[in-house]
Amino acid sequence: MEKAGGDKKRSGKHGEGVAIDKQFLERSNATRYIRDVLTKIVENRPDDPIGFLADYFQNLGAQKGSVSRACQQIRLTHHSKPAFHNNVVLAYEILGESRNPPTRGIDGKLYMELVTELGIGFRQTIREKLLKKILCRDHEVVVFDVFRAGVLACVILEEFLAEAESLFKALDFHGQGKVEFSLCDAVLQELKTSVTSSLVQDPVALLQTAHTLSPSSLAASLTTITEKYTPAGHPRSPMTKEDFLATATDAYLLAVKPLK
Amino acid sequence: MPAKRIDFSVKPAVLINFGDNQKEFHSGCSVIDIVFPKALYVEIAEIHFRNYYTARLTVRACVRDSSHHRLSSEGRWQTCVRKMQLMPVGHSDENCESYFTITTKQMAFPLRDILTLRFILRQPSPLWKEFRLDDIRLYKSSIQDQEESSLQSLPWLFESTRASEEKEQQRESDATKPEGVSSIADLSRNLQQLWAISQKVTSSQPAHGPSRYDVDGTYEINLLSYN
Repeated sequence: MEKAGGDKKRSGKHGEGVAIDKQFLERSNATRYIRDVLTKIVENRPDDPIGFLADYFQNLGAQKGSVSRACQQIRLTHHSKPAFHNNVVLAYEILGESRNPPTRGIDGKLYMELVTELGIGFRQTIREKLLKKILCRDHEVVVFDVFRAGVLACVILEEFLAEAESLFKALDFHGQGKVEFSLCDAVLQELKTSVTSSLVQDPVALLQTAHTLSPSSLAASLTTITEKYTPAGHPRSPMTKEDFLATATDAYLLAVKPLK
Repeated sequence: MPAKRIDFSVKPAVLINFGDNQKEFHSGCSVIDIVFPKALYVEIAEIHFRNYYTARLTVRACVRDSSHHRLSSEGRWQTCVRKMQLMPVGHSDENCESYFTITTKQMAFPLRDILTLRFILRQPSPLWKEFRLDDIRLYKSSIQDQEESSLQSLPWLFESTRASEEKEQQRESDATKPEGVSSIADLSRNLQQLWAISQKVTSSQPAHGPSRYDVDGTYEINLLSYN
């Protein structure tokens, strides 16, 4: 009996302690932050949750403007994940609320600030090319569809450039940092034709393009294109990675509708 | 070019009854007649339909008897398809609403110069009171043949599908590699990847850009006024 009573007392004390701890957590907003970040993790399903947590709290501490907050919101997850769309909506809302007075839409100026921030990782030439294509006028209302397309064009370009870099590496298997101009040009021309030919919504055209990019027919067309250079007899200087990526970006931007 | 559909009219299904018409007796047999009011000469290559709780199907055709007169309206009845199983088990509803295609291969004789087509539907199970065929379509020539012929115009498709793996590999090694390329397969993979990524952008493009009223940088004043 005595023993049981003692247990009860202890558990009562314990319960009090929990209540106090709870109060503290509430007061310091820690509960809210943890809950928020857990919701975000569940929504975005990051591959590396620890890194995600670290980034989240680092950004939380850094008190930034609405543009960078919107930018972070977009960067929370990869664009192929379902949560991405939701994040873009939230980013659009963050930007809209930051205006004075708060609005539901945004104008061209805010949109420009955002895409510039998103494209900060690109090299100067590539960024200029991209912005030229996706920017609209400062005073214009940017509807959500346009906003989303612009954001996607930015984030997908990152993926594209990474892939283009590995293509360059495959071409430059000696590791010299530059590749013969004729070969690069031939490859990039193939890329451009395939992008343009699939702009029309035609399933047969898609199959056709897929076929032209298959190893055997690619070999044939590359040979014909490179052969054209040889008899002409004016050797061009080899292409560097930067030039290659810039030209690849041109091919990519063919798929993007210009806004201006 | 789509396979030619045949115009026809379907007579209402007749449920076969025993004895008194008023008495309810589930005979499990019903008959659908199809007539061709407009056509002089009917040739059927494919019959498409959707089953609705019919267990077995028999198709009979009235073929014009041309021995007496070329356009005689008399004909001989012949069984074209005999007791084709539509539902594996009559009592269970497995595959009870499947689509079927009867091609010339399943027919006892080619359907040419037909006057009437008769579908005899049987459902021995008393579980299903109602059974019929829906969405009956008749085609003059086989749809499959048509599809194949339209695909013939894409030679590259056949080139890659018909060629066996071995042949493909053979060709790959034979293909003259352009100078300075280590592996054409890697190149192809990379290029395809790049193309796929650019496709993502294409599909995300907005239907409408921002709405503007100016034409080549100048405004039409009437568009800007409020009325």
